[in-house]
Amino acid sequence: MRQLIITGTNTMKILKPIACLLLTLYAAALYAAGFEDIEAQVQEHVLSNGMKFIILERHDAPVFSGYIYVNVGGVDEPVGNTGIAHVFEHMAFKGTTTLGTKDYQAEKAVMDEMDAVYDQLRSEWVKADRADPERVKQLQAEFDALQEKVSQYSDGEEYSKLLEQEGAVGINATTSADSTEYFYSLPSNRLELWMALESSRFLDPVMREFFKEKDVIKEERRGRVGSSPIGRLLEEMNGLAFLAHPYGRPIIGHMSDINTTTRAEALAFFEQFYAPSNMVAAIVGDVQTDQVIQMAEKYFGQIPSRANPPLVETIEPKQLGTRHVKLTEQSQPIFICAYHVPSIRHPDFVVLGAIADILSSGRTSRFHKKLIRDEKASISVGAFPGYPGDKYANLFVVYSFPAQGHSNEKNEEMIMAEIENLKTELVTEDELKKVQRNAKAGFIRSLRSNQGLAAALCTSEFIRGDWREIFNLLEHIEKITAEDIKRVANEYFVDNNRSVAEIVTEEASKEETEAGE
Amino acid sequence: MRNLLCCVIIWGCVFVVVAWGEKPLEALESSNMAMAADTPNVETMDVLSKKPHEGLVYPPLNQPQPPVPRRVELDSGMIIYLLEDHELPIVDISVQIRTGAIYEPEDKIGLAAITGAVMRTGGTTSKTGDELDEILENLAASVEVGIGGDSGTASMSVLKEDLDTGLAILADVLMNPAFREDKIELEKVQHRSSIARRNDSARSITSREFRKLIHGADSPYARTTEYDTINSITRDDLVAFHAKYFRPNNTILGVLGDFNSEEILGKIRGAFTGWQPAEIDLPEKPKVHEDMARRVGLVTKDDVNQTNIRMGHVGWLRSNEDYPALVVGCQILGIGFSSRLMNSIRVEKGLAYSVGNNYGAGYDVPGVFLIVCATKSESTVTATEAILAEVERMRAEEVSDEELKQAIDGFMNSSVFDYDSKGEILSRALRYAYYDYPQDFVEQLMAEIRNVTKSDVQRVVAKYMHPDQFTILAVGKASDFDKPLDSLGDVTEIDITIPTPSPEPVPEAGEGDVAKAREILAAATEAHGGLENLKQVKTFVSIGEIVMNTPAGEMTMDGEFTVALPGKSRNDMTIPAMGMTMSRVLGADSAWMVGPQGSQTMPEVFAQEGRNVIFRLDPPLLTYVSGAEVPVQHLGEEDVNGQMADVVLVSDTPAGSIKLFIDQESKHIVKKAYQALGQQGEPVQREEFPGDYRVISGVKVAFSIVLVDNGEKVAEVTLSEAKINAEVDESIFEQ
Repeated sequence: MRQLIITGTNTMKILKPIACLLLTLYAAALYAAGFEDIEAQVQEHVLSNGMKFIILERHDAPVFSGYIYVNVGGVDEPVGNTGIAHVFEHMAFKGTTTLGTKDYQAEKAVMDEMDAVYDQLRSEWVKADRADPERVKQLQAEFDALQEKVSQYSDGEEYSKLLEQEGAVGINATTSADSTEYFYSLPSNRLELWMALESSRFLDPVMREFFKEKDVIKEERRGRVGSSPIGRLLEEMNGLAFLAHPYGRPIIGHMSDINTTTRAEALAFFEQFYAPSNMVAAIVGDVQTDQVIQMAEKYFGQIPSRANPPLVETIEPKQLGTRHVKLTEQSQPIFICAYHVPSIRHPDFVVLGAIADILSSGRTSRFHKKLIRDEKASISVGAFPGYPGDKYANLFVVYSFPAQGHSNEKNEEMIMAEIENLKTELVTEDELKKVQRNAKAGFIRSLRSNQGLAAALCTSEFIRGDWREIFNLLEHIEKITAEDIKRVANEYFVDNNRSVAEIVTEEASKEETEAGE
Repeated sequence: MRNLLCCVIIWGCVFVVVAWGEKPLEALESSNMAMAADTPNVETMDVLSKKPHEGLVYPPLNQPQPPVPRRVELDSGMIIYLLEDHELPIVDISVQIRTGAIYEPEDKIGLAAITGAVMRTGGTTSKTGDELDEILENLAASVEVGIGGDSGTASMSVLKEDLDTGLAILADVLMNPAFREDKIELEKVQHRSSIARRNDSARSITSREFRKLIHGADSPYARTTEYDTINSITRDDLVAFHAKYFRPNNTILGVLGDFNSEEILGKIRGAFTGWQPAEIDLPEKPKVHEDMARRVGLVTKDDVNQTNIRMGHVGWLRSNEDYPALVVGCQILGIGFSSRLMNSIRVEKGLAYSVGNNYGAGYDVPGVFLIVCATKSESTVTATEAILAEVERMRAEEVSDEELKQAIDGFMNSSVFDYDSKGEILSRALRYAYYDYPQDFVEQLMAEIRNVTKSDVQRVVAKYMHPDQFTILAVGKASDFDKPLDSLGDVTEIDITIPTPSPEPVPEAGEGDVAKAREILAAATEAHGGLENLKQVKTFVSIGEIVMNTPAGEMTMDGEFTVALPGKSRNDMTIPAMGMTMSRVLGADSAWMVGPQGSQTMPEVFAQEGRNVIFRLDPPLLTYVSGAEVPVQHLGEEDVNGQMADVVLVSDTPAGSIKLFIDQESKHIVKKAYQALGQQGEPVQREEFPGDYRVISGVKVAFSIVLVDNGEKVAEVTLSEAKINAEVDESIFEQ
């Protein structure tokens, strides 16, 4: 993700959420009247190992975006291994048996030794105060020596360097609760390079520089959670709202889990979940469909079939009462409340999306008018379903950043009044029309980006069950009635189904908050 | 917030690129694209014997001539760039206006940003902002205005069929903004709130304070909004700022999308009819001062476990003849996965997730060359030293052939992406027009980058990058640092406490107002027990209960407040529900707090607030106002709780200005209004409503006090007992 420097003189930009993002994330995967022809242009091809390719030719510029969506995310992690999906995502950039090494046989021998020493170290660590400090010291020294030794064989960045040299842009990957996604764009004459490299990392992954990369990931965690009030708040909220379902666990992983994760565990996780039938690829841009299919067969066809990985069986039990977590921090107040709602495949989900739009999309939305414009009690307020993921039953989240001198309490009162209103009064026809129109315009605008389209097609394939669903969403949205909204609001927005997570500013008299983990 | 949440939802990008500036663009064909092969060779890939891409031959890239935007200048002086794009039924207009926050008066920082925002939200002479919101959002369209550091921008985006409506609103907003007061106030609330929140994110502290260290805190390139600068901005300021810069001859329009150029030119002319050009008296752009020297800044932030580090110095211009070589040098040093910083700091040492530098260039004033890094507190100095060593190495020796080739190939091969979106082509055209750069700047740059040599890179790095003169800033938990920061140079500790607003300016006082005020105060002093009795008060003890409104609901505490005038006090509170006690003590020389976790020193701002609390008690306050020199003024009368009261302003007391509301019948003080420190240390406008006055030792004591902060009731105090001049054990004020 590109990080931009903010050159303005205030920090508002960080806090001002842009409703567009909401559009691109779910309303975005929307329909477009008059754009049915795009659906007809999309081709698909399934390899014999079960991996699907979705192809859309667009010849206006000699470039293409390649996108691989793997249907595995934070929810699929075993207990004690939180963060392992993300660890593998990082490791997928570390090359293969031939790419990223100067002498694989020698490198492998040292890596195996390192794994063995690390396992012993780990069994000392878990003893906590009963660990033998002398032995830890000796093992650590041994490990450091091996780390030094292996570095003469490894060049873990060769994969990324090659891509950069060949003109790839936007090389990146993300891990979410539901998925792991790999993507970048290339000049269109380098389609075969994409095929060769992308298949190789799933055909022949070597998790070299594993332990150094875990240090990098720990820094990532410190930046996103340990040193960020909002990061801390969200981690607490997830844990609060989910008692049983893995949506309650941190995607980046707990620090101790990142620490103890081994190469063997990461490899086992990969082998279980990176089945070709659990992956979908999309190529959007200046390519020839038949050539894409031919190359996909050649390169990705080599990945052996694997059994379909298991789905999460745990169902979050019905919430029986309001839950509340309050973080006393040095920072300014933030208010969040969340309701359990069903997954994206449930017909009510699209209604919840419309509710979120009516409440918080744009300056004419109900929250904006009440909390920001009229009461001047908030500087940023919003709502959306699908947190932290879409695939399983999830949360409808409402948040506010109170304006200076205003309390969470006052914001909560106003938010609850708006939510109560949805339960008792029908929304207007104008509001429903606006939802439809926004969805259409958002979809049209999202078509500008090859990568955005590739991402939307892949996501829909697994999350909605079929990539074609993104073209049917308009229909679903057009069918929403004011009564639907009232019914859905009454069904889910009830006190016993609510979790509140907030930051309140500490009184200077309180002890300093310990940072992060 | 969705953005914020996304950071957590979409956990892990493998990396965060720390490169800024435009995407390097350009040349039409890459150096290693020459060989052609039409069909991929279809052999089985042998994963163990060769690299996956070995032997691949790429077909030639079929790159069409990129479109060139058409330039039109209207009679009014407005410049228009047009680029048709018929793929989607959308029309987008982006506007650049030559203005910016760098031209604001120094006591009105925020004026440019507020002007830009309220041009849109405050509506036009014919439509309110709320009406515009309705029209635009019903069309899923947008019109926005913003003014940044050195330019103003506006944008319009509509579905093709709504072009006329969108264009009319865009023109109206640019030409006829009405700056309605309610939206000015709304924007001020937003600005004040972001001031209050500006120390919540370590990263934003780092970028803000680094700019101040580089440019000087008062520089137009670094200064920040403050409560005072926001409060001083008036509607007249907005009107004048807009009138000065928003003129057609100071405006560039870029139009992109599904339209016919001739047709849309006619519509644009029509929409902007009546917009008169005017001579623009554009102040000279402030200079960037270039005295470079090693400076080390430290901001201590205790609620983080990672240090945000920034280092660098004033950079260079894009028009500098050495810029192409600098681009290559910067790339090799710290941009992307292939760079040295990425490999050394992240990959080899595992010290950071994000590390890298920018290209250091500006268009018309030098940019700032900077390196950023975030590392755990315990490796702060180690990481900084490792980064400095990498810069030194760039100066000391030539880069390798592979590094040079890697960097140049990367630029050449990705240059096709400089033309893959028409939006990007158009915005580049606008940017070059705005800064008066040649329209083919990118093509020139890429042609020169292709020829950069290893010795060029070493020469320019040695000439322009001076790590020994880097300004270095660390924001983090200093007590956990691996080594003292002063191993890097003399450390300046930076205080980021947010300045509280100055009291509101006192209206001009007539002689009559002053005399009347003294008369009312004298009557009040009499009603409260008389000056002699009030002066006699040496100690004051009150016992009772306080009900506080907290986010979690009402909380009741038992309290005892003991004051020994002039400057000592002790506040003991018990929360019966939790069996918890807390004390705040203001002793002779020190102030501290005692809570469940033990005792700790009270920050000076709270100690000062404690002294103010004592001062605002009736006996010292009424004694003080009896002084002949104390500036007082009668402001008028106001209804307080259904009774008319006289309002008297007492300016510049040791506790700031205080407004006293004195009941016209009883002559009791029925309200005090002043600026205080809220529970969380933030400045608040407090109103205090005393009542239930009883006589204790000849002096009136309010047995009931309601406290209201910023219009919200925060606490109610009810006394059960009050003692004046009772014996007080002095030891309770000692630690």
